[in-house]
Amino acid sequence: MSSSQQEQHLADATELEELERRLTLESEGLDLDGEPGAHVDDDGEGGNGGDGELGGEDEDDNPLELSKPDVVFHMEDSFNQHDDDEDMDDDDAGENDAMTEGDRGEDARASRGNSFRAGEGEGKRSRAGSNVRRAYEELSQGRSPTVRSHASSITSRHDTEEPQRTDAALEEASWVEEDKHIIILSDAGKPIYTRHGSEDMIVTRAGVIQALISFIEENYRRPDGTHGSVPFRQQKEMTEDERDELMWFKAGEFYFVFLVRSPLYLLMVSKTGEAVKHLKQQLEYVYSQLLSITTLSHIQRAFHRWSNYDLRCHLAGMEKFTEHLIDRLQADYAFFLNAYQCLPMDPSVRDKLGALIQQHKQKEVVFALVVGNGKVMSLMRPRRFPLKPQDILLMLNVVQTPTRSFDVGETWMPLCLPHFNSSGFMHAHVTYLHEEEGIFLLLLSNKQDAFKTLSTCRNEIVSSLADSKLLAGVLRAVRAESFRVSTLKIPDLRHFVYKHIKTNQFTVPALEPPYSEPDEERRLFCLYQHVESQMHANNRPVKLFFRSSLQEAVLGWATATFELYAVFDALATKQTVTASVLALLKWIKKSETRLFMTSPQLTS
Amino acid sequence: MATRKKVLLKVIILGDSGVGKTSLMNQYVNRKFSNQYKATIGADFLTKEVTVDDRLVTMQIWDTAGQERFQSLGVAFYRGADCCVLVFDVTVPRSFESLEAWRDEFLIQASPRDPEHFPFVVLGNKVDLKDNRAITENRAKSWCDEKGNIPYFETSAKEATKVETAFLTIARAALQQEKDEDIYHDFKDAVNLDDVPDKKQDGCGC
Repeated sequence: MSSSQQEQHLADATELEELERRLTLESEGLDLDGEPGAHVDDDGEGGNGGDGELGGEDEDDNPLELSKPDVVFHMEDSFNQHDDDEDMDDDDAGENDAMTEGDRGEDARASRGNSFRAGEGEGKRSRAGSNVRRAYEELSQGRSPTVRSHASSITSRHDTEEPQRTDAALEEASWVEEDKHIIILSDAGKPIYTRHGSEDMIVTRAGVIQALISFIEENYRRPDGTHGSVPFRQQKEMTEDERDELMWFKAGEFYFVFLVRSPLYLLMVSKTGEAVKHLKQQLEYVYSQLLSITTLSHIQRAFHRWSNYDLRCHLAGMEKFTEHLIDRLQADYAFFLNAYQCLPMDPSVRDKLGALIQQHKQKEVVFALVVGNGKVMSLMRPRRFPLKPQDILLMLNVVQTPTRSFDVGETWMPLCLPHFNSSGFMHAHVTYLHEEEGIFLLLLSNKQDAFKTLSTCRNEIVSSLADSKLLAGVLRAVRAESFRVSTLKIPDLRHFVYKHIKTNQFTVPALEPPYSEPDEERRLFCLYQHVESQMHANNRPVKLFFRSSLQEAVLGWATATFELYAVFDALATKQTVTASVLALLKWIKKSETRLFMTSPQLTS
Repeated sequence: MATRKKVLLKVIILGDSGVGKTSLMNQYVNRKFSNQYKATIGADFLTKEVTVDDRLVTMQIWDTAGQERFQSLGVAFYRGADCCVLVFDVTVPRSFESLEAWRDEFLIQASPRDPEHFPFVVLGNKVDLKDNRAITENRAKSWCDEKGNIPYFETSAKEATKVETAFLTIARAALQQEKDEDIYHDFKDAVNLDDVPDKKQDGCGC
């Protein structure tokens, strides 16, 4: 261990010099030609329209993306999108109006209309392209008239009472105002889950979504390079390379991002301004959460047996976990960093806690997790089964979800860890290790009938902990407040997020003014998210990102061992920033074993 | 089977162009009829809530385009259907003769688990046009009997004849298809640790 630690240290030292050199070069106004890894942009508010352009300052209604045409298409295997105008849509507008009319009629509660019109995709690629484009426009247009009419009926409510207003219209109006929607449906077009609004509301929309996705999917590339549609049965045998996949499009201020995980389709509709990459990543988490309740093999088996299968009956009662996860997606650094947080604690206390659990563990226990303040205190796993951060976040989500279930005693729940094994359930025994301080103990077994054993095991751990001096140390760690940047006395440093690559863990200090206000907290989150997406852009990855604005200077730095995102005083000079980053890294290095769980408890 | 308040049924309406698929649906969902003909391009989606034998049912009705040139979305549309409604125009013999093809097309594309017992309903539409009638009720009925006793209704979207009854039968037919197999045995799926691939390489340190 010691030699590799030394190596890592050396690597850090070289990288520090690199940072220093780059920032110094920049501050002297030297161009960094031939150094594509660095991107420095400090021309303040205006920016130059380049990658560093950032709209995060202007509250959340300002999309972070550069201005783009109203409808933007992006497909995995983008084919020619000739805009040859087929005369397909002569009387569509009239029909749409008719639908909207019907919507508001006396049957509005029971019936809702929605149209999807796609033309003759008889194998001609160029044509398919324009048809798809039209379909998208139809979708967005098909939405807006309905939307506007209902929304206006709401705003005018204060002046005059609108007699024809229905509950459905009210629901629709509030639905439209949401910043972010998540809809899950089956590949038959049947709704499975919606974050906002009732399932009834999305019944017709689910049909439209399904049509959009399958229209792209069914047009595929033949070995000879031509494109065309294929029967369903053959489609199943197609490889991913042969298939086209609808990824995202933009309509108005909304991004529509798709995640196709047949037989399930997931859609995110967002006007939050987050990067498509992050929206997609969030959908992946929602998908993982869904799998954690159902297992992938169940979904595949059920839909293979019945293509009209209704997965909703399987999800009943589990909504709160999914909802909690979705709410956290936009507030927790964990999700865009793909990393989890450890509770900072004295490493010797952490080791002893791990050893104590291992001492009482039965062979039925596969994984054990101690969680305090929603952060990992200790993790035990078999040597041969490393856990992905995604699975750990799912486990954390279980105990972070506000529910009374855990108050009444022991909870025994099936929980699939999809990145560990998506084909079956683990069974989680969830209890308080210390109720007053909200410390949870999760014991996971692959044996369905291991409840008694795990329960006994848990009781032994609890009583053994109560008798030992260790408890005081554990409680001290949970009761301690998060560390503050101000106590580090690093010049101009206001806040930072540090991801420890090797362990997939991250650490973040408590929010201090000006970021302790909810709006500012949100802005800071978006800022970090934006820097992350800029640095990890597929077409132009960047190792170093620096930009100053009226509010602050932000730095992003990615190396082989860590990723650092930090904000500094707006007037901080580059020399100060460089010195401060070095000081911060030095402090983190010194506190590494306290901030991060560098070695989990391993079992054979 | 868990008791869910509401059942969702996907209903596909098929038939030649101009037989009145959209009109039937509009009559059923919106209680409206228009003499004007507008071709459906691709498909329209509508929903209707009904109570069938004390069960609350949401019908998701997929009104497809009859014109061949708009058929490119067939496969996707048919997938996972709970019931298929075949419509013909009693004044147009050709539209009746096409029923066979529409039914075959559906069975091939949707490939339902039990094609023999998949619920179809046949509607002979435009019975208000008595003078132009070309297909007799008997002829239609005997075809339906031949195909495994498919329920048959004579409807008029214009005069709202039998539309409600027909759709109620459709919902009932679809409900009968509900799976009775126990799907919950899947919960017994446990992780076999010996089967878990050694993920040392791509896993994280923790």
